[in-house]
Amino acid sequence: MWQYAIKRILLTIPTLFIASGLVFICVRLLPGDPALLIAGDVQDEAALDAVRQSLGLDQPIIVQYGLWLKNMLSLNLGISISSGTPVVDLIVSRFSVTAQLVLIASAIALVVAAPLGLFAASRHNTRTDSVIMITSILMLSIPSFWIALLLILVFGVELKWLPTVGYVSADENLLQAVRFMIMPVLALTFVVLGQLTRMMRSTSIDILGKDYITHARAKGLSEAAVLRHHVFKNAFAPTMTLMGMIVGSLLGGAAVVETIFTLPGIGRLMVDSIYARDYPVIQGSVLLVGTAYVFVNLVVDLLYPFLDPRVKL
Amino acid sequence: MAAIGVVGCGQKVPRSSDVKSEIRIALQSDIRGTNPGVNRDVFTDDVLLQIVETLVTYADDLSVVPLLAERVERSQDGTRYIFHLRRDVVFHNGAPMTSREVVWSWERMLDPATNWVCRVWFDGSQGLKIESVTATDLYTVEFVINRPSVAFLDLLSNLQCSPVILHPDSVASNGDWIAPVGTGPFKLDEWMRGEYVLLIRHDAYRIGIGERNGLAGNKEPAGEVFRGVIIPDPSAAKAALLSGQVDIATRLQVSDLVDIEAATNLTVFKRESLDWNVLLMQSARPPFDDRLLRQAVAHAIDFSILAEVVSGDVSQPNASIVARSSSEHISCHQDRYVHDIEKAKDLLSRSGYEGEPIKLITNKRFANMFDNALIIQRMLIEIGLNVELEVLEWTTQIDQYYSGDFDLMSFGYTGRTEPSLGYKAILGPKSENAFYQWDSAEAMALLNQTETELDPGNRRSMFCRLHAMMLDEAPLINLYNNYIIEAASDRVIGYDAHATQKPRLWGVSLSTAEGEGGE
Repeated sequence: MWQYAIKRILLTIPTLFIASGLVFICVRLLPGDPALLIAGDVQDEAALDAVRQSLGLDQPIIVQYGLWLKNMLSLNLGISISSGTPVVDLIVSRFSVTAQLVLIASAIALVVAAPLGLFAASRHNTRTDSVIMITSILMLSIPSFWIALLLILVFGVELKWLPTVGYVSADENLLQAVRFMIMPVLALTFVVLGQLTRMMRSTSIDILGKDYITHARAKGLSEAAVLRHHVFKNAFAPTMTLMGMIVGSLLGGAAVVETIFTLPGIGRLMVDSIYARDYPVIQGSVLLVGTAYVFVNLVVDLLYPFLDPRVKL
Repeated sequence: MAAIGVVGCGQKVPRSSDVKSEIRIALQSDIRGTNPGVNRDVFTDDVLLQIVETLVTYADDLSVVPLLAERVERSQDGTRYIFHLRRDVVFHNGAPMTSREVVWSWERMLDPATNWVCRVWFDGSQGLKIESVTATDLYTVEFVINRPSVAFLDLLSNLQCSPVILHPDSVASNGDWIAPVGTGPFKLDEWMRGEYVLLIRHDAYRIGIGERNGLAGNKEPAGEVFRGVIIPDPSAAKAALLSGQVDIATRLQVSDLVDIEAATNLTVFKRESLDWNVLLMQSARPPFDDRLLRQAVAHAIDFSILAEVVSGDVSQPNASIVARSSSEHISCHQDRYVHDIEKAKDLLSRSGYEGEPIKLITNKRFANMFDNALIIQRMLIEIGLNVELEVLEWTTQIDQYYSGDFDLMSFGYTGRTEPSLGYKAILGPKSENAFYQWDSAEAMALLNQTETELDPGNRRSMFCRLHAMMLDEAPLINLYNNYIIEAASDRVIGYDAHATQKPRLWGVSLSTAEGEGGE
């Protein structure tokens, strides 16, 4: 297994290298000039040239690429054009906020979705199953920004129970941190919950039709024991795979929820950086999100043999 | 020498003795940095305005009045300015402000290594050059410039450039920027990137001369702590305001008006800003190199309807570069195109336009620009122009603006207080800079004359002539000054919107009864 893990990690290096190279090219193909955002309203070419020079944007693209490559190999992701701070510092602090949000939301969704999907499967083609299915599809279909706005309207504006925007770190004040995180986590949980419930239900239904389930029932095992010991373990492995993909994509794709609730996460940082044409931050963020995606899926793959003994790595 | 004094009109500022709490203001975007005029944008300028100050600044009527200076004298030939500094001003580090710091600040700004965005305005590359800045005594500074410039004091007040007076402790011994040690009513206490900016009261702040007047006068910091909460999403900002999580929100949109005006616990401030909305027409290439076509467009637009609908009835039409809120906006600037569909159709039929598709570029970052484009498109279709909307991301649109690669563009200019600076933004040879909108040698010559004309009456006449020439040539169409919509909780005392659209946090506090609250 360790050999497999090392091989996967080594494969990550060229993947990320190619991805970041593509990002470097793509962001420079975008129309727009960061210097215009700093000195645009001064409207003077000389002033703009001076800003470009100070940002290193007056160099030919190939020189910029060479410099970036050299720095990247020494784990130096450069300096943010917008804020002048090291990109590493920016993305590490922002990533921790996103990781909290995504991991908590995904964990809650998994804890709810796994038994819910299993329960729906066990009541296949009944009214209970239909209710759970329709609810899951609704959760899947409603965009996260709409849920977020609805939560803000109800719990923030009308009831005034929860803060609508902002972030407090757990180190600073745990209780406040929880209060500020409730609505963003809920908004994200809704979407993940629908996907996981559907996956758990469909794989469980599939497994419930297998011969060994009929055999288990024939042995006189209770339905609860069949579901717990035979269906759950087998159905959970594909759900975990989906979970890995969801977590991986959300680590870079929670920008909407982060923007609405004003959470200083990596998704919002990426969006802001794209608007500001902050090339080093865009590249650094993509690199980090890509690494996280690969890492999360690697962890899921490594967990697979524990969930399904038939799988050998 | 002619003396420029303090205008003593404006609002009374409440005393600070009854307040002791944090006031929260929604910021639409994080600040880019803390180095004034170097790494900046409009949101950065908004915050730094509370921390640092200039020698002169804008009054309520947008005239230039002293701030850190007590008075300013100009030589008869207009090439020497003597600033008599206030003697009671102290920096945030407790050091008194003297002519030494003023000279140091200006030498630093004019040093190319600082990368001050407005250095080109003063280094001779645009004509005007500061020849010297010298301290004639501890509280007197003399600026010598290479030629008379009526706009000089305005440039020294400019809000985008922030030519502020800093203490040398703001930079390290090697010149690297540390943090602003200014003279403003607030000090920067903490900046959490992407989250908030915390400002605390400068307890040793010495109030200026007279009552609060624009960005000058009594700037006593009444509130102790201001937290600028960064809320990029407009809906979230509105929700935060309605739920009481922030006390003040600026740069609100017309679409927010219904909700915020319905809220009983909010005070809404509405007024016109200096920023102006325009419809740009690329006159350097067909089809808009045809003056008749440009005039047809001008007469097709119903300015009153446009301003009323897009600004929520806050703004009135203004075809002039000179803002309606400026004291320079005299009667001749009220001349504008008459909405006349038949005349527009007639001009169109006499032009060389043959029905080819025309792209009208706009963006969704700024709701006013998008709404203007949408309404103008319908008005132009009505006279027979084949106009299609093209919605771009804002940064891409700016790129196209600078390269001149457009037919029609719904755009907006940051407000200029001095008319000549407004005209400078649009007037110039397109062969030199594609972002110029009006390429007219005659108008440029007249604009150059305004820069050295010291008689205010003659100068105003010149701007009237420029306005008339612009209406005739129709190189672009000025629509109206942008709207300002701001709101504050009713527990906030002393807040008011200003035409520069800059939040003025001095004199603002929370009422005692609810002062200890807040999320």
